[in-house]
Amino acid sequence: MKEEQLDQDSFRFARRVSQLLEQSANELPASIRSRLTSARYAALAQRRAGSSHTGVVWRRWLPAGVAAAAVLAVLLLQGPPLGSGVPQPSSGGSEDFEMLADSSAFALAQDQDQPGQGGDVDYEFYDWAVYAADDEHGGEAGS
Amino acid sequence: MNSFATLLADTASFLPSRNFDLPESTQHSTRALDGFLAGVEARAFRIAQIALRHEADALDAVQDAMLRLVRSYSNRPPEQWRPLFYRILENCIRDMQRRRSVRARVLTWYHRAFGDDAIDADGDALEQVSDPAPIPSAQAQTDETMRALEVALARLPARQRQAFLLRSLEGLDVAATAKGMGCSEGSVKTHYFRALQALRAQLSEYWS
Repeated sequence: MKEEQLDQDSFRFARRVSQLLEQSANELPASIRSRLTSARYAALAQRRAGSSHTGVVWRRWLPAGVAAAAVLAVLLLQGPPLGSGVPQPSSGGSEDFEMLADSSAFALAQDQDQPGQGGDVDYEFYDWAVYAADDEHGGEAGS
Repeated sequence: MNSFATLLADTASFLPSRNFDLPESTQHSTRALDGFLAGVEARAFRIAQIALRHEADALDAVQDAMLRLVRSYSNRPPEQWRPLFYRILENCIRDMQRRRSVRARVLTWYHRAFGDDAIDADGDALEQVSDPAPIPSAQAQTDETMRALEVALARLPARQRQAFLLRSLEGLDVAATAKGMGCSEGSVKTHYFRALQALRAQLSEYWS
């Protein structure tokens, strides 16, 4: 059974009860009305206080922030140095830098980049360089 | 009661001049909240009073509900305030009943362990645990019919009483009542119907 199935008597009864309750709410004693008003003002005062003192919110978190910063500082000072886990560049990097700094290598590179200005590419030179390197390695292995 | 004493003291520091520091939107929503709370406070008090059968506890419950609504839900759209407020109020009533039940158990144990003399001389705590007597200060409620209605409502299961009072006293529709009770509309209709049948059975001598 549900609300839609109410008969006329039930409707009349519900209406009378409703009127009685409404009347009792409207006729509350002045002392209770006064205390309800005070309660309402106190609730709204809390809202006003919260709105006008927003700075209090971050101040509340200040100690936690200081503590977190202190912990971070201790970790940084006592833990392994930053970057220790980062792989270091191989020693080949310095060799590349030396090659770039070498004036003759720079000239060779220029010749290779600008074939039209310095003539054709000197393939014979590169063949010689390869063979010379092979001979040198072979000699080292033999000795 | 003590909380109301502190409340009155706090209210003394509530000055309208502080409004000048607030943004206009905040002032506007505060006015809207003020209007809403002023509109529901009397009926909310009656709902709490019928459930708790104690004036001071009912005032405390309404005050708690107001504070919680303002603190946590004042930024919600105003049309959501009413069901939210009544859900909060019901939670406050339930908390109060739970506290009262624990207090009654402790006092019963204390009474059995240490005898009648151990009870506080003014007996105030025991009076607050069960107060079946009608409230003397409310002149309008001395009417026999009203008293019988209050007793009958207090005897209802909590969900039935809640559904009936939200529909009959607060005038919420089924959907808003369902939101306020945190249940389906079908449950609201069933609770309301059962409450009505139970009240009719109990009050048949007053409403023939």
